[in-house]
Amino acid sequence: MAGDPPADDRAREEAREEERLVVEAQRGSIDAFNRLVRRYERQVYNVALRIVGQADLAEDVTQDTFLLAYKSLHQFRGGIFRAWLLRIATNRCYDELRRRQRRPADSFEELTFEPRVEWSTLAAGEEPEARAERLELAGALELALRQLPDDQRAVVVLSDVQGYSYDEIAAITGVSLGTIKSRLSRGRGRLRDLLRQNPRHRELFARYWRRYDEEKQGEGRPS
Amino acid sequence: MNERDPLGSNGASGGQGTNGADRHLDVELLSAYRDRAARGDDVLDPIAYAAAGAHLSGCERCRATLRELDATVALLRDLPQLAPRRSFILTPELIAAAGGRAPRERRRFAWVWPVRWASAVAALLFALTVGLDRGAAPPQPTTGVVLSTAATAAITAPATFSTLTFSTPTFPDDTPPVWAFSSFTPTVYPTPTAVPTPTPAPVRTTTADLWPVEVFLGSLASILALFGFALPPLLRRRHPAA
Repeated sequence: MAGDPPADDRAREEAREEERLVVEAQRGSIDAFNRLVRRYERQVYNVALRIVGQADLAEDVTQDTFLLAYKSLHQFRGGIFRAWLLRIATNRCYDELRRRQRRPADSFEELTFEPRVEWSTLAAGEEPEARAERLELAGALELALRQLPDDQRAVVVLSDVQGYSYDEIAAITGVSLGTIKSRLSRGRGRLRDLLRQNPRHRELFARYWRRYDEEKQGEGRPS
Repeated sequence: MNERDPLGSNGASGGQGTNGADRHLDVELLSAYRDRAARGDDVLDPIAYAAAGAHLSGCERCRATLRELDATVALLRDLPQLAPRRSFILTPELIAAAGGRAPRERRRFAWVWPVRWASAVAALLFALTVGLDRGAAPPQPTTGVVLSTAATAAITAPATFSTLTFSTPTFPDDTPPVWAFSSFTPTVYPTPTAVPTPTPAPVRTTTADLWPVEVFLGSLASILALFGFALPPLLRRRHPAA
């Protein structure tokens, strides 16, 4: 929350540290750059994973992103380093998606990684059956994500899976706030429709949002 | 209640009702409403937000759509951040395999080479000019001006760029072959005070028609030296920040 001095101080300290690392890396220090890699590799990988939908491809994209970032680091002139990095990553994802369109034999229809769910919303006291249903629903959602048009999927991933702000998404994708808003709403609407298409998923989804509703009314919504 | 403007028609209803009872908020508006309500995103102006809120309070169907959107976002947020199966740390081998060089190295080369070439060519042309001047040596003011142009260009380039921590051929000490060839008396050069008053060198009354060549070479030397100044900033401008 706003106005938490220790958290603000820590964020400011981290921003300064990151600035220093970027400058050192621009002077050619691989060690400094690798500290930035460690800081952001998980985020870059997860963005790539949800956009391209395949674990091995996401790994290639992530590695390429850091190599490309290192080579073109002299072009970075301040601003949000993470947004600059993720811009490279999403562009690489689009390259891969275009390449895959030319080679449609590559399967996009099955999960190449295990669906899991975090324990952020309904975890407390959740019954095993409910958890199994949530896992099933998460798998269906991962597959539904892949049926979105590429630009909608990218914005949904950046906003709702990764939790980045509209401004940061604008910096990453290079499109206007209005376009982001529109892609996001169409993407969410389409995901909702897709989850309701299959009778089984429709039932699970209905149960999920009913439980979510009760939970929210009980103790307030997670941000 | 005015529902006409900010509120669109829900595709599922498709109604054009006259009393607003069968009109519903579209998904885009509900999505923006949700973001403003849940995380304060400024994507919906206050009037549209208030109007949507008023409609929602009386429309069960739109409330249900909003809850579903909300649940979809919550489900997306629940997707885990997966740990990559390997590290993406860069090694010198990986960078070399990708055909990369350290950024600092790349940047320095972009600056150094045009400057070096410009300085070297300016030096050569200047020496030639001096040689020709000595051969022709008409004690005209024009010659002094031309000489000073070439001299300034040749001297300024190395003196200025030496601050960029690389070495260029310096004048006049580092060019013994040229000076030996021209056997020019060093007292005239390179003191700038010599510029307004050209030293009356030992007059060789050969043809004075060579001075246009001097003008040409002197100008060329100046242009090349200027090119050395101007090119690196131009290179930088062609690759602006991402």
